[in-house]
Amino acid sequence: MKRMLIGAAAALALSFTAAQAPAADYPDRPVSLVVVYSPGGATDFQARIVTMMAGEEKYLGQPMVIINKPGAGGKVGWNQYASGAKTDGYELASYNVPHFIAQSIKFETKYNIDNLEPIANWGADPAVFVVNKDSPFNTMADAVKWAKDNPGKLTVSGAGLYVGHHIAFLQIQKGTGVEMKYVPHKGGAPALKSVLGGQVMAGVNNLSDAYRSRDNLKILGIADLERDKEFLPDVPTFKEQGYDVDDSSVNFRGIMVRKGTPQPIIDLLAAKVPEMFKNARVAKQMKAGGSPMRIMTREQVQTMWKNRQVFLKELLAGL
Amino acid sequence: MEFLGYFGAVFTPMSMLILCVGTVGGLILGATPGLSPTMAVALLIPFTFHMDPAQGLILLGAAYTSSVAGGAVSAILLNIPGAPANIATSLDGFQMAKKGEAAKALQMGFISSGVGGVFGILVLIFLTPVLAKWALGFGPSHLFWIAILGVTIIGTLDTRSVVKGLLSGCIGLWIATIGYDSIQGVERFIFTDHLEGGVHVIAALIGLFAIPQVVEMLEHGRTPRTVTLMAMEHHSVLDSARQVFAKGRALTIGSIVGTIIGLIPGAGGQIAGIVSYDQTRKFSPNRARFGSGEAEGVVAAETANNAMVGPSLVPLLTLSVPGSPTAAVLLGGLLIHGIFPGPNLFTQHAPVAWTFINSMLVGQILMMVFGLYIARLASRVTLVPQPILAAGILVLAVFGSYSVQSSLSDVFVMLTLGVGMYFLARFGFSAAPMVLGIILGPIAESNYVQGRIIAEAGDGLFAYFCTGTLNLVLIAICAASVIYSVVMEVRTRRLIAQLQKTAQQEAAT
Amino acid sequence: MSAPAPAPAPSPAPEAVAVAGRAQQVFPAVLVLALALWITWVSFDVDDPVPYLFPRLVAVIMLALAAVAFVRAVTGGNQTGGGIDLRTLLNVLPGIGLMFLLVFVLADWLGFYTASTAVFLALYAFYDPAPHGAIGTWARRVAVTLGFMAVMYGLFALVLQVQTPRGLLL
Repeated sequence: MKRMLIGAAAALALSFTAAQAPAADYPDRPVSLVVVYSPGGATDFQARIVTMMAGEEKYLGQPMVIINKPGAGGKVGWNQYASGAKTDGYELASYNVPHFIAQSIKFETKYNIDNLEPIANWGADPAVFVVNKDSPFNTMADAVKWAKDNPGKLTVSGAGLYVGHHIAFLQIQKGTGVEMKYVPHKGGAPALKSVLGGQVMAGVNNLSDAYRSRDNLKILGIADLERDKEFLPDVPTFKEQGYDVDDSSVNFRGIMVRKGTPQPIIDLLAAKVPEMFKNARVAKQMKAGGSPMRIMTREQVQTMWKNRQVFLKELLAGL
Repeated sequence: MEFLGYFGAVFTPMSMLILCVGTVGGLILGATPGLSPTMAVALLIPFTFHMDPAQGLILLGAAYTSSVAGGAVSAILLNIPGAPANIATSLDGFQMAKKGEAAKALQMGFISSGVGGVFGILVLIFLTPVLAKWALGFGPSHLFWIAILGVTIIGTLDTRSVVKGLLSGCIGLWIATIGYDSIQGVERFIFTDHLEGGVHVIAALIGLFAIPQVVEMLEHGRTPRTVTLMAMEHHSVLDSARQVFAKGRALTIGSIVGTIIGLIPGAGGQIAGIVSYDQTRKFSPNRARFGSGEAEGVVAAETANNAMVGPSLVPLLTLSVPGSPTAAVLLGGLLIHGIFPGPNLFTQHAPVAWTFINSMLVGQILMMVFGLYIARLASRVTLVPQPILAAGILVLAVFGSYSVQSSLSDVFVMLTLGVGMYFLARFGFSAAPMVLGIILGPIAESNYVQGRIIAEAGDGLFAYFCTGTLNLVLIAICAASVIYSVVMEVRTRRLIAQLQKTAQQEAAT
Repeated sequence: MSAPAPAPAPSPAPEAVAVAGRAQQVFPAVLVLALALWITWVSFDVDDPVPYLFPRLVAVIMLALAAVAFVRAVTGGNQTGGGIDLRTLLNVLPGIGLMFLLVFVLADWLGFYTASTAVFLALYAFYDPAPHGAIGTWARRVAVTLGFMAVMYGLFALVLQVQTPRGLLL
């Protein structure tokens, strides 16, 4: 009760003084983090781990509270965030690249890379190409050969349209020069289920999810620049197999704020949040959960966002 | 029999304490209008951060088990199902409560929940390896037909008017299409920004059931009449137990239907109760009394609801594929503790996995015991003066619908649908088919769309949806369901006509 | 589909004793028919038909059913539901007004807890038959309200840690 009251009083006080002194004692109450996917999903689960140390004095000194606003592949939550969130530094959101950039190009969304400010990146989950354990395909070359003989017949599942999986599929199609059939699902887990259940012939999915199901799957390729040494050291990249697929579909996850947030607060967050991600307990929990980490600073993320924007505009132009 | 070796870990004082807290907490959360099992489990996950894995899972498992059963409390006492799974419970349970049999309905509900629940967990313990592969075999075409089977039930759910029942169902199916379509991301029927995220089934459930109930309580205005209540009879637990076990048909159908629907990933278990209710009604000689307070209906629905719990974890634990929203949340809870479900779960983390499953078995029995105790307390809710009850349910509905996805839009949608439903209900429309429509719409549509894409790459639409043993079996069940309903409808009509004729003749003489 | 029963309609179920008048039955039938027409129109008036295949199917079935319901309402057959009378309407309207006030205005403006406390008390006091003049009445009303809201705060804010909009207060 006390905390709530103090918080409420502080909010009241802040609304009067916001213009003058924004960051003097920021943060003096819990900070919320909007996650645009459901509880239990990969983004939610990782967000809970990477923010669990926020309350420590050397990081923010205040806990981060996860607020889930799922719907339409993240569009609902991000639309609300980019148009309605407060810019006082107490309302943060998580981002998924390439999802939100691709959506902002393809649909009339209220968000784009220009009205959001990255803080830091915590993880990178590359897309992998998987087939059922009983599948006749043992290498990417087998699958490509079959698809060449049967154009448009190779069904590939993935989580929805204009998300990392779909981008990876488009790149794989382009890189291998064969035509396949993309079957969008309502999220990564149902898409993987279709591969395991044999409803589709192959799938594009998250490395972390495929890693957990590796005993029932064959993982034929990873859409990244390097192999994943920690979890799947034996799976070759597409590049190694001679297909022109880079890391553009890698699912980057991180924290951002709305444009208009005072610069001192952004600077403070940009300095402390990556340190928080580097905490040993966070790293241990992330590894235990099979989630690859990739910590990037605000400047690195800004560059990454811009590059993706250019690349995705080109890739999606023909669709 | 490996699991027997791990019972010791369940019966330690700490584990038992957590199990009891989780069970009672789950019952209370489940009984709170507006808090579904999925939300209860999701809201409890942060608590498990500070526990060791086995204890954390015991808490989540206990909460899952008991919140499903707890949903029956508000369904029976207030006609507000705690979760979509409890819709079928409210159909006869609330009528029983109106007749003063609230205590009996609650007791029978909890006992049948316990029976179904234990059956489901035993299936999980003994048949997991066999069933996991089978469950995964259900693809888009099969799920499409299962959704259609659900749609065939819509029309027969409302015994007063088939046309209005079907119309309510259609409105539900339409409501489900509002928002971004889940496959292609196209906007449909979004005439205000608040509908951008579509209509969440839990928000709709709260609105369509709770709000009309609240408004109804205010119908008599500011008169002493509002304080008068339904009578409450005491009922012995033993007698309830005897009556439950006398209903072998409902228990059998409930256990089997609940298990099968729970196993199938994507069917969601939300329709287990209603399918079981419908099937039991069709096989029961008392079918005419269903919908007006027939205890068999409550038994059928509650058995199926809890029988679904164990099997719904089969795809999750063995293949790491969450088959239902609640299972997806549980997956998050497992991963946070570094436990990967999958084929190696029972070799690498055997103590944790078996302790979890065993605790759910013990939890089913605790749930029954606590439930019977709580039933006695909870039925006093009906003694609360109606103005207080109305205000309380309203506030719960607002908080509950907000907590689903932290969205004020959901609260707006909840209230608007609810007030609309109150007026529609006065003209013979009903909420149950509408919610069923909202649940089944997306299952039918997304599986049809996916199936169509797969069929285009393969053998074509007809071959994909209408050939293969499983498809044919499901189509046959759908057809049988429709034909049966039509035949029964015609028969009842003839019977009524005959009765009227004789009555007229008697009046004439 | 049953044939329209001849008037005067027999009352098949006990709850249909207070069967609404024909005019009252026509009103919702027209509303539903209008809704069905609108859905049909929207689903067929689109550039890309693929996402609208399912809504179209629903719309057509709904239109047919709404037409049947409309014909029945006009001919006076199959009257289900009690309808609504002016007295009931006047009794429920203040309550519905308070609900809309809570959800659409107060919740976001004052914060969930403050708004709910106010509306709980207002709703309770408005429909409580006890005399308004007595102090005891008000003491009980306030006590019940605060007690209930304390439980709500304990459950949602403290145990489940749900963050609700705060608005001006709580």
